[in-house]
Amino acid sequence: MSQAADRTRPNPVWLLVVVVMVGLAVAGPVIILRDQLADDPPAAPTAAEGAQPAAAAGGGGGTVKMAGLSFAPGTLTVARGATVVFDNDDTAPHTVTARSGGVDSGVLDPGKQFSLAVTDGFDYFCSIHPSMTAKIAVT
Amino acid sequence: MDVIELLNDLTGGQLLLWKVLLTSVIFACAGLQVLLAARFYEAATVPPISTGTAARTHRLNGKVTVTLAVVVGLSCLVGPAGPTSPTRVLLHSVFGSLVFGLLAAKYTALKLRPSWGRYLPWIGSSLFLTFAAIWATTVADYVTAR
Repeated sequence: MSQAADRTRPNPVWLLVVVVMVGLAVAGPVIILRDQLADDPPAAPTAAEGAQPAAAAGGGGGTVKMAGLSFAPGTLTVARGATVVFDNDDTAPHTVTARSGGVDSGVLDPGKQFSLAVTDGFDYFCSIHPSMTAKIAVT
Repeated sequence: MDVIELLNDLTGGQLLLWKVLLTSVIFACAGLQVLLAARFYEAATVPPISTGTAARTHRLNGKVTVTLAVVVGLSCLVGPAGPTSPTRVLLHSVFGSLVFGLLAAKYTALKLRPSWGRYLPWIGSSLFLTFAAIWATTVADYVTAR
């Protein structure tokens, strides 16, 4: 009897609601899979090319904020040897990864920071969200 | 301007805070749903309202909860979704996807396959636990990190 009730024509509105819910359920795994396939693994850290750990920091640095899936400012110019602080103020984890290798912050959870004493300019990106790119310039 | 930038602008740059607040509201609503369901299944005597009122309130509260969950879920999918590290983020993605799978099962049982109605208490309980897991993997971390 309950199976007979099931055979009545489904309301298309509720059918659409179920389809939307299923779509939202599979969207997350699809995005993860897409990102995994799209990500080029960053070059393994090598001898620091243009950057050294913050322990050797100098003054006159600056701060790069990570928010809204972007680095701000897009280009930060600092004095040679200055310390740059990368502050993840976003809703997602990010990395600061130099294109040429040598700098990799590892995963920075929201609210975390990464400091770096810069001796040479470099282009960098977030290895989790490769569309996030920016540059450090040295004067 | 992409969607995540628009959402950031709409929330005055406080998108994360808004998501934290809404996730907490959703979690509270999910808890209320369980209480109301227990009342109209006559498994509990609290809250002290009639089973009819409990059922009507359950439906209304459910609509609010699902609407908010879709809003927050979409704001995650268009923005930060994708990372699998650290483990907390991966678990959040798993639970976030699971909750919509459970909602699809619930609507199927309610509206498309009435014979599945006997599973509704299990689906509802699972939904509450999944919302709790989502809250724990985001809001709890947000609060303890600050």
